[in-house]
Amino acid sequence: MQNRTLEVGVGLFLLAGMLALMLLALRVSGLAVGAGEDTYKVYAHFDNIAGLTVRSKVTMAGVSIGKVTAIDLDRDSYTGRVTMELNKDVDNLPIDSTASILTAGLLGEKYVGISVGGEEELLADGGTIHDTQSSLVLEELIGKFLLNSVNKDSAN
Amino acid sequence: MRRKSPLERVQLLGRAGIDVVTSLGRSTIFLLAALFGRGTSGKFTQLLIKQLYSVGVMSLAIIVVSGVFIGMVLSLQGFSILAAYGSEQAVGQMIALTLLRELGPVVTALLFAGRAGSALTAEIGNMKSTEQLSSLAMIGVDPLKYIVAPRLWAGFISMPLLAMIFSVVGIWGGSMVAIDWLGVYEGSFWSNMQNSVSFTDDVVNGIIKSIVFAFVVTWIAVFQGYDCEPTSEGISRATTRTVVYASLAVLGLDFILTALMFGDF
Amino acid sequence: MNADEKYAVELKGLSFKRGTRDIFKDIDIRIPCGKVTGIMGPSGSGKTTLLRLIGAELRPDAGEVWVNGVNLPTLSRTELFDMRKKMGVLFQSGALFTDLDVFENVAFPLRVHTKLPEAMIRDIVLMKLQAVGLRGAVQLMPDELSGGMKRRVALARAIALDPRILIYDEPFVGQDPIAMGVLVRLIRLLTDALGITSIVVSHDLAETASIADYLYVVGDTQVLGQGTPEELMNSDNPRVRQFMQGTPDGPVPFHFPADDYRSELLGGR
Repeated sequence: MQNRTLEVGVGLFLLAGMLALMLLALRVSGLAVGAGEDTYKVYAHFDNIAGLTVRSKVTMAGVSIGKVTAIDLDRDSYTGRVTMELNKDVDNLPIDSTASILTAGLLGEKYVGISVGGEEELLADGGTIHDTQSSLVLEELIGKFLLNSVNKDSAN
Repeated sequence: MRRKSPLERVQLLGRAGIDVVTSLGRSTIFLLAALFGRGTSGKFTQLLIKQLYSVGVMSLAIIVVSGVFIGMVLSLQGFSILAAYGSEQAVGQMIALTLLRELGPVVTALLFAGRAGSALTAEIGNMKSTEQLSSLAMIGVDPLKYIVAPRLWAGFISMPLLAMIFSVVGIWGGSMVAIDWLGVYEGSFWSNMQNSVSFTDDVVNGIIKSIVFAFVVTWIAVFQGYDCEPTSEGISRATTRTVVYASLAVLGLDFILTALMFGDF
Repeated sequence: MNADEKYAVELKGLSFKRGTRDIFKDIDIRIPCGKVTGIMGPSGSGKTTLLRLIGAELRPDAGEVWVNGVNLPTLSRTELFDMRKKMGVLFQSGALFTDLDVFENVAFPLRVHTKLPEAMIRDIVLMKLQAVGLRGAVQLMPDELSGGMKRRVALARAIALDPRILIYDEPFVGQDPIAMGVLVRLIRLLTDALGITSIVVSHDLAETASIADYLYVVGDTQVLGQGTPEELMNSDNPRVRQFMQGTPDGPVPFHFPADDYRSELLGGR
């Protein structure tokens, strides 16, 4: 009798532990089982990726459709190459789609936004998005603004 | 008391050093003998279940209650800070990361040392003072195998499970406060969390931490009990030592592990 | 088989130190088979240490401990645990396992060392408990027993495996006269009926002398005297005589060694 409550208690405890691990994996860290199966890879080159990190979201029309899996420097073109994994069910992206690095809110995190192009031909696995728009760098923006006002002054 | 000459002070320091090293050595031999020594222990599973119950299941209540409250407090504090920057959606990731990386393993280990560790020390110390350990040995049963080993394994198994339960319950408590009370949008709460928490980096590292803590806390608790002076005063001193040493060891190791896992070098 | 078959336990040239203090220095003790042998001595003379040496819980610094024809310090840990099955020890406090009831306590050695069927274990346990007169207490927990009953249950447990040697550590301490009488009778009975070799470690003179066939008096790192109780009573060794007759001051001084009383009081500053 006493042994039985003991064993049931321990069994429930072990179950609770395993359930906790599953919750941590699926619910908290969003680990999807067999995630590698239904995604495909797309590359994009940016002049400046400043602030974008691995695991950032890739969105289209505000909907998350994938994530950034790697960022490295392309030695030949001196641009930042971003590797993205997109969900298989969004496989109808035209080849001239645009990728831009956007910011969530004024100080929020960076993410990649994709807007649709008009070509018939579609992006395949391992394809590259050529039309890109780099990260908005505040310093450059301010620099441009100052330059513009100087130019205006001299024109007058 | 007569004043001590400098030479005597050096001698005292040396003696203290020798004491520390010998007790480290003895406790290591003790651990190895208990875990890997061969011997008769036919009913090991049964003994282990009994200990899992008294070490793990009995600690569940304090772990769950503390977890809920810590999660709720984190949520309240995090919200008020993050709201100042207009990024209260990030409260989910803040709670999850804090719990998984730090508070889950550390607070569980501290509570475990206080609840189960002290009980282990007192129980074994009591067995020693009432000659139950000697009696076992004279019956021809190795107390290291029969008493110590099941308790060590029960501690090693229980604590990581408890730490995970702690984190889950804490995140749940935090989500309740954030979503139902503070009005954070549920979707962004969870998606922010899922985007920033990595299974391999955060969850697994947290589990590794708590495995290390489990090892150290249980080892200290069981050894203090086994090595204590077999009087009621000796047992109470050993119990205090267990809680103090285990807590310090956990906090010190936490710094080292954090530096190794999350520090950039 | 180096040891003489007539002796169950033989200590040869045994020395033991605790820290730097000598507990025993080169002592020889022989305990004959099938008899009750008393080992006596004043408190602090290392009687319990001697018992732990015989049980090989402690290792001697020098000398040999022969038990049942085996030299214990040469055995490995596993062999030692096997060896101990043939030895029963009755500890001062009884040392019952507090989380098991009386039945399971007595059944414990049987369960770990034999693969007997449950029915047979039950019979043996009841027989052993009957022998100590506690068959009725079979379902009680140890904390429900009186001190004397605990010791009797512990005795039943010690004889569960029918050992060849039984060692009693201070069996008479803190017992009321009735319990003491019961225990004395039991020790005598077990020795005579089962042919067990009994070793009684005690400082209770009258009781030990009343059941022992042979006595050793230890103290001051040495064996002070040995012989039958009558021989020791009439011993001409002053230390033995002081112990046997219980005079407060003598060769074993009343005062713990100290500096001179007068000079310490006057010259304290």
